[in-house]
Amino acid sequence: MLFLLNNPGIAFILLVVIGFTVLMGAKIFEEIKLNSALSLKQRQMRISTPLKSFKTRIALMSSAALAPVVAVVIVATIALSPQASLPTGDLVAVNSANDIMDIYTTFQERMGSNYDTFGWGLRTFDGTVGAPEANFDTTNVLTSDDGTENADSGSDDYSGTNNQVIGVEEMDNVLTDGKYIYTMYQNKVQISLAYTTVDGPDVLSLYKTFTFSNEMCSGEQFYPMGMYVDDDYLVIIGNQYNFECKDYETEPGDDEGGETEPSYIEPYYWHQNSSHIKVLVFDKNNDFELQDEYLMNGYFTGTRKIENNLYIVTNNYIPFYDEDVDIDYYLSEYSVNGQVTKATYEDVVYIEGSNPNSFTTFYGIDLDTTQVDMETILGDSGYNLYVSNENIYLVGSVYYFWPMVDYVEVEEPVYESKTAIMKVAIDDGEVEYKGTGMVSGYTLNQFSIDEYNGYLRITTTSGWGEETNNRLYVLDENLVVVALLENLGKPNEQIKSTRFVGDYAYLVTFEQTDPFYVINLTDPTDPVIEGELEIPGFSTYLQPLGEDFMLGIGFGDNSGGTQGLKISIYDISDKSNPFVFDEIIFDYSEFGWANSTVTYNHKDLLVSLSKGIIALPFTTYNFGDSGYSYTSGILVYNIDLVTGFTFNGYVTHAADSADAESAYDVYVYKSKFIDDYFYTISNKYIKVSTIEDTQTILDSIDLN
Amino acid sequence: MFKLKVSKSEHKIIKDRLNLVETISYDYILTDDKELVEDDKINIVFNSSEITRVTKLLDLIVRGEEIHIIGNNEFGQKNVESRNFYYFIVENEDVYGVLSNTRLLIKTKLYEIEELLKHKDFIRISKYCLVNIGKIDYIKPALNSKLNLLLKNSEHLEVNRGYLKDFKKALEI
Repeated sequence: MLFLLNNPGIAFILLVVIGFTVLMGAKIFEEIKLNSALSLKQRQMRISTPLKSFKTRIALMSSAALAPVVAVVIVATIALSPQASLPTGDLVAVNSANDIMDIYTTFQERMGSNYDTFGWGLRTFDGTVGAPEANFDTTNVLTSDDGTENADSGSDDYSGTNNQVIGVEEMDNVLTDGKYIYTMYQNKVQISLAYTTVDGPDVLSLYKTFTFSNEMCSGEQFYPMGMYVDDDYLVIIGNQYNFECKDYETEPGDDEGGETEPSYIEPYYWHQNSSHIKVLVFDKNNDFELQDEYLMNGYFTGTRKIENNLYIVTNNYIPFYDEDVDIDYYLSEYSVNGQVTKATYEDVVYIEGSNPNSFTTFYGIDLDTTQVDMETILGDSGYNLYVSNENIYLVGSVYYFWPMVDYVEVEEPVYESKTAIMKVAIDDGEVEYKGTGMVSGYTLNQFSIDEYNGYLRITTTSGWGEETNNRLYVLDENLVVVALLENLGKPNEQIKSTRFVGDYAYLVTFEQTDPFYVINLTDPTDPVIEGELEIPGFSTYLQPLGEDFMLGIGFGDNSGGTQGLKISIYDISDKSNPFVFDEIIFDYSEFGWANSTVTYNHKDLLVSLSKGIIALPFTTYNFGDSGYSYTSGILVYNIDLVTGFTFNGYVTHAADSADAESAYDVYVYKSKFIDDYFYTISNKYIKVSTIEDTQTILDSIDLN
Repeated sequence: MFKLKVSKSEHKIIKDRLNLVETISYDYILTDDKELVEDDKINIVFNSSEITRVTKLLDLIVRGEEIHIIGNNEFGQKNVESRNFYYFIVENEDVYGVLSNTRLLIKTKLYEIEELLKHKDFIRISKYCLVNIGKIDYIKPALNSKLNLLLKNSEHLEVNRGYLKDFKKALEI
């Protein structure tokens, strides 16, 4: 009814159709009645001539009466059943901007809807070719000459980034290489000497600070997003903005009489994403000298690093809504130390059936040779990036649209989405598009996807409420679905976390209780649920602890709800009978409110079975009678696969601060270990303690 | 007009063979059992071997007295039994009786013909037209509340709104 009220035109047509059908029905009824009476009368008159074509006429009239109804039903079926243009995975060659406009027009016609995506301005490069110029400030607190410590080597025993796939590095904001700790906060990247084999943690000192400009109107702003570090390089990746600032002149005749305001930012560049992705590569063996600078146009989608090869995925939306759109402008381009390479149309491939709304570009960068390989695909982009040692999978949504969505006002024009999986093979810095696969539903995060023995496993959720369907798909190397496990979880439940470990998948669905499923994928074509465990709360992140245990971090409280942080260890040694081996619950009712970034960012979690600890940022907010209090720190538990969890410490950075106010602006967000020492990192300090007793701070440096 | 009183098992067969339509109010009883006769009705008691003769008898009863109408066409004067007329129509103040292949100019007023044929299933459908119900092939209700009549000679006539009620009554609706 609401639909009809919202669409008076349709309501009118419907009324007319109903009126016509009723009228025709009455006429048919009258005709049958009259002719039956005539027939009876004539039989009474003993005239036995059958009425000619009575049946034919009634059939004809009935058809006429029903025709509008049928027409309305057909139109409604077409209009209201979502049509999708699904990527077939087939590639279409593109040779010019006109080809792209044709593809766009054809796609829009097929969708029957003007569904435009919005893009923002990109900028062309204006750098000069040559050695990269450092347009940031470097502050050397210590120099190589200051002492002998810096020449000493670090430890090989340190915590790396908590990566999803072994061998595939993920970008992070705090790193260590066993000697230095690299921290990134706002517009600063700082290098602190943390440990040497000679002096241990006593060397803790700030070594270098790179300060990037983040001032509006300063010409070029760089916002670091993350870093990689290895034996040779420190790589900083960030967004480069170029806000255009102009003097603002008030209109003549205004009250102020045309006075000049200081400046304003040209609105064209008001957007959250940058127009460039910038990669700065520093040579570790030359005192962190800037060695190479890479620049890519577009918006950041994701990155990984495998050995000395860096992979970056970018996305450039093409604003087709602009009639004068110049597609050339949105073609992918990159520069290496100022040397610009622009993709040509021949480099672009279009995936048949996908929405040609943007260029998605996969870059493979060999950091040793500065060789860049690129693959540009015209089509839907993605939101979840999974990278194995052999392939990049970019997962995105393909929406179904109601074709008449422009004419029919509906509350939820998109009612189902499919997930398109783009596969790009990577090999030593080379990238090559392999194909596109299609599954129902949407993926939760990068852990929903996994490649093992050539098979891709993926978990998705589709629909809401009663219609919810959680699925596990197995696809072969050509992205053809070879197995599907459907309706996982109870009604209304959605997938909250997935972790694939070898032949097994561990899956958590949730609505009121947390069924933890163990799915056997030994036969990729026939996955079976082998075990199930139902407990209150749910995990949003799962991480294997050896072969027999699984760590789960998520939400749960002491009264069976989800108002608390919950850390669990599941014993999965018997796959058919998983059980909770140990758990810790921080009930919000005890704190006011608490939060750990680990529930959504796995890289903030430190897990080491060899050191026997888990550590995670934990922030509590208390709004009790004594007023507001805020505590940010790193929560550390000893973990033992026989005895379970034992509390080690809660490391805060402000508790002992003389400046009480600082307690409110210290944010402890990371922990690392080097050898037997435990380092906690906040926006203000790096503090070191021992793993054995994390709460007793041995030393501290101020990062400001 | 008729009521058939035979055993239940034979009722349908005999009714079909007699080509009989029974009515709620009736003047004639047809029966094979003399015990079932009704005093205040005309009773026809027959045995099954006489069905053919009874059928002919029924034809006669229904047809009733033959009424002949005299009219003229280009070949001279004709005397035609009323049931053969499709309709009578007034054109330029002359009354014509329409037959399957010809029409006769009739020297009788239309209302007089109507009175004459009032028991012969003729029905007035407009001020100028009297139609034979037995010659109607099909009735199409029009959207303007009129009725279109398709006759067995493929001619079309229209039942005017003012005569609709009587027309329906004649069909016993």
